[in-house]
Amino acid sequence: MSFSVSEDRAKLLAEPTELDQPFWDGLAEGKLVIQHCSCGNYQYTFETFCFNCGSDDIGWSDTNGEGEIHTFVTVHQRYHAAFSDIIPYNVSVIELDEGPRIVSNVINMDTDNVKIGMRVKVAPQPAGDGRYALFFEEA
Amino acid sequence: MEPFKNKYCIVGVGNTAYGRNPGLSQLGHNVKAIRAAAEDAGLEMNEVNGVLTKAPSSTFPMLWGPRVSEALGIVPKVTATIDQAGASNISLVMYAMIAIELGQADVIACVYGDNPGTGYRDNYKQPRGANAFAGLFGAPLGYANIARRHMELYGTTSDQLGNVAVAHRHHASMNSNAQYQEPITLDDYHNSRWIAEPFHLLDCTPVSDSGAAWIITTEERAKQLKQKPIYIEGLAQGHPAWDFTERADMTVSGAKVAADSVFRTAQMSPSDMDFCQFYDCFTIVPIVTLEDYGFVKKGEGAAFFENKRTWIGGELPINTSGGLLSETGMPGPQLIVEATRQLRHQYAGTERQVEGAEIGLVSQQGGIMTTHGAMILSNQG
Repeated sequence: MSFSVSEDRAKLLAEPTELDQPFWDGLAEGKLVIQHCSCGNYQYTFETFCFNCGSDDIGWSDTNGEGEIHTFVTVHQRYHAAFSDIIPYNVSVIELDEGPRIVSNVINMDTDNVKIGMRVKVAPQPAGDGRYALFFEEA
Repeated sequence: MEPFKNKYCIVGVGNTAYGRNPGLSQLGHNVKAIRAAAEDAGLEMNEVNGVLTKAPSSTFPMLWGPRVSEALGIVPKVTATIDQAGASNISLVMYAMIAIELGQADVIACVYGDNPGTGYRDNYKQPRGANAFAGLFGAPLGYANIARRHMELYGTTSDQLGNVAVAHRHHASMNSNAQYQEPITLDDYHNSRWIAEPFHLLDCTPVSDSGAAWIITTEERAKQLKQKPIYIEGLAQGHPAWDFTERADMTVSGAKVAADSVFRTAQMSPSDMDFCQFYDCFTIVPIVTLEDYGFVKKGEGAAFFENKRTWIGGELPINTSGGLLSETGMPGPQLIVEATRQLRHQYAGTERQVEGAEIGLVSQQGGIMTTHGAMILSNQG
């Protein structure tokens, strides 16, 4: 099964900011790069400070790009025209090995085969203009 | 400590027609609900000196308390709008009691009204941040994720979710003001279309036009009014996290935190409750709520909804007017109205009345199990 990001959907991709550029640069290299504080906290809600210790000295780290399905749904309702062509589609909450949980999609498999506890790895996909978007696939 | 006992009462409740009501504005639902509650209490409008509002879900108007007050033709001493989505409904009561305790006002109307059923409803399908790209829109998808996790951890089944929908519809079938009164079966539940697996359409609250108000005053004042006073015995809040993905255990709601405070302040336990009115925006929620308050062990909530145990006449009647699932999709005030009417024995002589009801628990919730409010009411001074 091949998957590609439609033009309409690519329009929903958030614009990079000065703050979160390392995340987008990581995706372009096939990696998942998120915030990492010296207190040990990994953070997927990107901010100028750490949600755990409050430090402004929060940096970025590569993750191993893997995690497991914490929970998931198969969406049938048409909430947005950009998803009409892929209904029913998967939305999963993925718990990274580093701890944070990410809302994303498992691609390249039948949605009926997605299971809680399944190991997944990051699988960035091209989304136009040289940009990449975050997706996961079975590890 | 008995901080609430015999001090604060609900003396009037009122509501607008539930369901689709294209002729009435957002402001109109608020005003008509408060006027109905004042009439129910036997109060003149200008005796109300506090107006507390939960902001309409479909928009977030600023200065909403003064706006509603102006449209009621009154000049209150106290207003506030509390932003906890559904949980606000009980937090308004907490704020009303504080205002009364501090001598700032003594007859306070709490209200919610909105018209997303026939008016603006885009907020109901909004994504948050990066979730738009992932296709996570609206509340149903968040709650469906929680339901899936609960099913995985505890073996909760689709049939068990369906039992909740069937039970609440059964109660709505006795309620002439309910938006959906036609009884449903488990087959109807399974045959309703998928919204997002594991949720069918009948797992989800409708989007409705509705307004409801409840008026709080002192026991002393309450005794001079028309209705039997309904006493506020316990109150609590609990707010686990902003995002459902960030909670340590996404199957645990704010009820887990609120339970201790609500039962402690009331000096009661779950076994004292004659009925519950649980926020039931989705079928999984009353299941989780029942567990987190300690009525049953974690993971055993779904089984409790089997065999009509939660039907009126059963072991613990839950959502006796049909709740959010069937009475109206309004986010919560209908539950406070219903608890009050049950405790007044306003349905006496009909199958709708919980026989001999003296004490009831009301829960409210906002976001994706983001906020929680708990309140215990009784008819015993």
